[in-house]
Amino acid sequence: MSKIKMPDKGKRVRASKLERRDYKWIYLFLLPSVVMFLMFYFVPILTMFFTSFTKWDGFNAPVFNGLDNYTRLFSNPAFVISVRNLIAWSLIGIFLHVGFGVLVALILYHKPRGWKFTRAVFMIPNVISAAAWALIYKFIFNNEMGVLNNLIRMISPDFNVQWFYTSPYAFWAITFTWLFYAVIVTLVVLGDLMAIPEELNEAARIDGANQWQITTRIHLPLCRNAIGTSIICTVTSRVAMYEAIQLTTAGGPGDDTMNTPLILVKAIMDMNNGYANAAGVVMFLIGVIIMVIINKVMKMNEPVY
Amino acid sequence: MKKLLALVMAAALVFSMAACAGNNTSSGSKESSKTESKTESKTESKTEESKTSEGGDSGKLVEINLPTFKAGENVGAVFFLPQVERFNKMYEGKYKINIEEVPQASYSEKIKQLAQQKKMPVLMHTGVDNEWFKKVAIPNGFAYDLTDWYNNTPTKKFFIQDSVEYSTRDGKLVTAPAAVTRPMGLFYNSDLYKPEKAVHDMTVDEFIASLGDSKIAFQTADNAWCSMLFLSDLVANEEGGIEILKNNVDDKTSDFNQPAIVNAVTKLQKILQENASANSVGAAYADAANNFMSEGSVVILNGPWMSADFAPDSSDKWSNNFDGANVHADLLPGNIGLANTRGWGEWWVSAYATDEEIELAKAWLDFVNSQEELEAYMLAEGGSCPNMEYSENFLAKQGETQVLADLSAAINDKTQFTPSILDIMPTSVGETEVGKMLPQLIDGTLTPEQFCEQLSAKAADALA
Amino acid sequence: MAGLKKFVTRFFMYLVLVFTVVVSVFPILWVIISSFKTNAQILSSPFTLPTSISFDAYAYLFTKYNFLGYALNSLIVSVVSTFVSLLFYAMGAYVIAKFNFPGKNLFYVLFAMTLLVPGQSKAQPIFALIMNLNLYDNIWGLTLVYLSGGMAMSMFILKAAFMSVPKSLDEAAELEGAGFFRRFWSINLPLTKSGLSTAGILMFLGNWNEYFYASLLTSSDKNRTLPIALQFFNEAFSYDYTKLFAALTVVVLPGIILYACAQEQVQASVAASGVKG
Repeated sequence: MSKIKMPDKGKRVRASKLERRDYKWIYLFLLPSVVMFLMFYFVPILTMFFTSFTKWDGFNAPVFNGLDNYTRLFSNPAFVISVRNLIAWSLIGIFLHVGFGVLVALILYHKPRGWKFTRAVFMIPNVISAAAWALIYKFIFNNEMGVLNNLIRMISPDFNVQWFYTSPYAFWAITFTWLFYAVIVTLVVLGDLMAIPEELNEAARIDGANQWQITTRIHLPLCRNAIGTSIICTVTSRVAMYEAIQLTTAGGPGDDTMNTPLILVKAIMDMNNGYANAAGVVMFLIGVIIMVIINKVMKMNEPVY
Repeated sequence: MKKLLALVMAAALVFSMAACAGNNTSSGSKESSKTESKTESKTESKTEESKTSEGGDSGKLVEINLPTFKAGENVGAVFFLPQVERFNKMYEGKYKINIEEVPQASYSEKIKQLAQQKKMPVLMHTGVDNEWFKKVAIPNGFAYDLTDWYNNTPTKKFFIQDSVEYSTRDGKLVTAPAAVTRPMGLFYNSDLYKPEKAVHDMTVDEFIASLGDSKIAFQTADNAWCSMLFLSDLVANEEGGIEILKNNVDDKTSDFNQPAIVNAVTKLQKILQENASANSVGAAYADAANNFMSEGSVVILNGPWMSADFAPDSSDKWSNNFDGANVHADLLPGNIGLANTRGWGEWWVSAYATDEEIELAKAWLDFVNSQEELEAYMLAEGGSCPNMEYSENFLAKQGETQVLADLSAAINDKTQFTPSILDIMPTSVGETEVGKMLPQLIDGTLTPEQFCEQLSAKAADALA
Repeated sequence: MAGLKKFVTRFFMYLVLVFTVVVSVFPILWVIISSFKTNAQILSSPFTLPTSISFDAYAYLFTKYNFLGYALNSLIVSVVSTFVSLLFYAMGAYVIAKFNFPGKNLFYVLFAMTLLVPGQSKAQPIFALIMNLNLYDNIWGLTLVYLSGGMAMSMFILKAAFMSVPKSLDEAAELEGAGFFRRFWSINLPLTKSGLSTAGILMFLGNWNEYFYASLLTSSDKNRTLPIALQFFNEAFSYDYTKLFAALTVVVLPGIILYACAQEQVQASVAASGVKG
């Protein structure tokens, strides 16, 4: 509680009188989230950071070994591939995945025939667990009995590609398991679009703006927060993506579709928990950096209206 | 408004619970998880005692819960559940085992977490996570020392000496040793493939030639099981190969660049390219088995427990005119059987169990290792018990099951038994890495030498 | 010319919608249809419809397992944890979105980063916690754990949602003498229904499909949730594509049915919030 009396440091946090009077309420409102954090995340995060500098089998006492885990991690070819994949997947996620979601949201906003149906149906892939979804896609991309290759074979009968098991197809096969399932983006953006006051649209129309101009000059900038949120969700999901890969390619062929969570789980399998946690810390830091960047770029801390 | 009220109350309740717990964890479990779990185990044993003493008052029934994956739809359940029933019936009013079904995928994690809290079940399966068992469970004294039981059990004569030695750590017998060994070999569909002489009398080259255009069911997903069994045979047939397999089981190896392995991988590459079933790339075990049981291939490598799939009551798994009656079994080319007798037995017992529970566990171990039960087990899931004089009833019944009879007939004094190559790989390499690299070996992205180099590098990383 | 342009735009719009529907529905539909075919049909002709419909695989599953019980457990656990955590995180997101106070950014980053804590490193502390609370093999223990699940995602979504509620509304309410709680409850919450429902759906689905902790923290049949039962099927039926597809259908269908029932309600409440600033 002493925190409350603390004088504001820095310029960023400049509380108005009104807000300062509300401090009691503010911290009260934060309390449940903070308790959840302390209960479920605080200890794991601390353990992760501390043991990443040790040799630890997950049970017996850890032995300090400095930066060994990190140097090993950075010289691991699978890790280098993981970082490359993360960058590629993040870019694909930002431009294609979020792009597609925003496009669908913009279309739904105009309420064309069947828009409710589309919105409802778009949700279905998200209803299904990642594990079941991965299994389904494994069958869709199956060379022998899969739908995709049989479809292609109708045009080109000799087509044979093991999507999940040959480079460079495996990377794209993994990408397709999530690329078009952007319903969260659509819902978040649609929520913001619907909140745009009708007067703004009318005013623009009176000024002679066409639909394209209204969309790009008014709608998209006003959805800045929603789009930024979508990007953060997408990119962090890419950092943490596990089941979709583990249950299809397991990171193969070779190390083509590796990512950090796979390295982490593999290390735990070998009881190299210290090493695994070093991978976890790196994953964590990458996530923080990405978030800070996106927050800055999208100006997400400034109110829209 | 009522709804809201209920919600808020629920929230408050959970919240207060959470708050207390929050204190506990943040103060406790940074470094002191050990002390915490110590006090934990005390309270636990208290509740356990009160439970059993209650039972004691009402007729001395000792009851335990046995979490197991050999339940429900699991293949192992077919034999295991009736066995537990038989035990419960035999000791009616005295002991009772209640089955708790656990998904196989979670069993290992669950036992590890329970062990960390010193609250594991009385009886546990071994071999689910070998490294953990060796590095954590045994050094920390989680396993009850079964030496006394072993010295007094009437079933002592059945146990395989290798397994007894292997299970003895620091003078303690940490698992009930194995009595039965189940050498793995191959199954073939005699409807489509009729070898001129027994497969175990052929060399690998002769065997491949005898196949002609017929295919072998292979897999590359997960631990690439069927493919790895074949690789083990190829290694065993190389100069010095058997020694490599036998000598590296305990500590695993990161040296796969030895000529015996490189040569074997070279042969495997050719066989996978030319003699493998169409669906091999990316196939999981189930896909390989499915391929064999739908006549997509004529040979599959596996252990004798697969015999259950060829019995008439498994006919719902067959398709495309496949008939389990046509399936024969044999050892692998070069007269090789894959078996690792230097291993744990099936069960270990919690060191934190109460005396009554230990008695029950011992009764259970006596029971499952009795001649009748071992014979029933071997009839159901295959295998042999080298130290047992089989009953006539057993021999007659074994003869009725074609593949089991085939296997026991194939074993002769020239047969060599060797562990599988998966047994000498570090866990992650065997479980996933090798399977991920096989597709690249098949499509030629990796040469056999590169394959072995990468395998060694990954193994070295895992062992570091 | 304008007519053509309009036609092209419309055509493009519907093309995107049709594509969206197809990629969303087709995979599931294919799985469900395949579950009625024989193994041979699945292998040889992936597009044909089943020749005869057999419910054998389903009948077997339903007689052997107490599906209703599992579904009920899943429902209780998911609904309770979703509503409680929605309230918790809405409160947190609200103050972070609307107020300046010391530690604001730190709290936000901490909450957001929970998404990046690997499940494997959480398992041990959470297991110990539940054991200490004596909630092992208890659906309320599971509920408690699920409260933490959607923290980051709901923070992202709800913070953005609260930020798009104009501050002028708060100020107006303040002038009229509305207190802190009333401004949150009667002004801001109703205006963020869309965000709340999105976050709620996400958390609900996450909890509904959660397998790892469900299998770790429960052991007896009466406390089992749906995903555990489904894991049994996956393990048991992998040898036979028909049964595997049947199992997958059973895995997938309850969620879809539930969603179909709830979605009218959810969407209606969202539509009703149609803010006119």
